[in-house]
Amino acid sequence: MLFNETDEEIILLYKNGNQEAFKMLINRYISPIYNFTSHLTNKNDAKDITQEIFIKVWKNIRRFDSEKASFKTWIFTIAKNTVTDFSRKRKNILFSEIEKGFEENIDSFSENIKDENLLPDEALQKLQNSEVLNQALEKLRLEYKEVLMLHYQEELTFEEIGKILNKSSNTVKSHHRRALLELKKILS
Amino acid sequence: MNKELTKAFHQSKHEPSPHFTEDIWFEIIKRERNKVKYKLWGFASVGLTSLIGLIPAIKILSNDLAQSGFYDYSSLIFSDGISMLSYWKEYILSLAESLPIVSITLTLSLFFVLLLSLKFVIKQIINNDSLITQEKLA
Repeated sequence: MLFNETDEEIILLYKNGNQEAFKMLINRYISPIYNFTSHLTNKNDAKDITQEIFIKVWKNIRRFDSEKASFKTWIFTIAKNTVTDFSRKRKNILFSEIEKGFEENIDSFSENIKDENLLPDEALQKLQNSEVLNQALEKLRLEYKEVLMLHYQEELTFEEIGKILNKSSNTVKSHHRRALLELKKILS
Repeated sequence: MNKELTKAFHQSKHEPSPHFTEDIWFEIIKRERNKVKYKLWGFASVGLTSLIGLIPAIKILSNDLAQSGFYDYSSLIFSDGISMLSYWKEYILSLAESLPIVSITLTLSLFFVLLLSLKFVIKQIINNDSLITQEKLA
C-alpha cells in the first residue's frame, strides 16, 4: 500500500499504469471532499456530488500539472466548480445577486478591526459546540462558508484558497474578515 | 483565535459512510470497463474493415503488378541473372518504374491499419483483464 508517498508520486504511479494508486487518492481525499461538499450543499446531495468530483478527477488526472498547483488545490478547485454547477442547476442561489449584495455591504469600519479581535471569547466558546457551528455555517453566505471551510478545516493559506476560488488573496482575506463578522452577528 | 477556530471546525467535520470509497471505486471501474469495451469494439471494427479491404486491395495490386510488367521484369533475374547483374542500374530503374505505386500504397496502408488495430485490441483486452482482477480484489 502507498502511505508515505506524496500526492504527486501517487499520480505518477497511476499515470504509469498502477490503477490501484487512484484508489489511494480517493482514500486520502474522500473525507475532506465529502465534508466540503456536505457543508456547502446538504448531506443528501453531498454523496452524489462527491462521486461526481472523483469521476471528474479520474477523467482529467492526466492533465494535472503539479508545477501549476498542488493536487490538493486542484481537487478542491474541481470540488468548488462541481458544487457551483450543482447549485446553479438546482437554482438554489442567485450568484450574481450574492456578488452584488456583497459589494454593497462593504463596511469600512470592519476593515480596521484586527483579525484576532473579530470573534470575542464568548463567540469562540459557543463555536466549540459543533452543532452550533454547523447551524451558524448554514446561515452564512456561500463564499464566506467556502473561505472558512478551506482555511480552518483544510488549513489552506489565503493564497491557495484564492487559486481554488479564482480570486485574489486580498479578496479572500476580505471574505474571511466578513465571514467572521457575520459569524459573530449570527452567534449574538 | 485561529487555533480555537481550527479546533472547532475540525470537530464539526461531516464524515462519509465507511463504504463510500469502495462505491466510488466500483463506479470508476465500471466506467473504465465501459470505456475499454467501446474502444475494443471500435478498434476491432476498424481492424475487421481493414482486413476485408485488404482482400480486394491485394487482388488489385496483383493485377497491377501483372499489367505493369513487374512480374516479367523480376523473372529476368532468374532466367538471365548474369546480364541483369551487369546492367543492374537499368534493371533496378525498370523494376521501380513498373511498380504500381497507388495500389502498393493502398495495400500497405490497409495492412498498417490492421496491425495498429490488432495492437490496440490486444491492449484493451489486457486492460479489461486487469480491471476484472481489480474488481475481484476489491
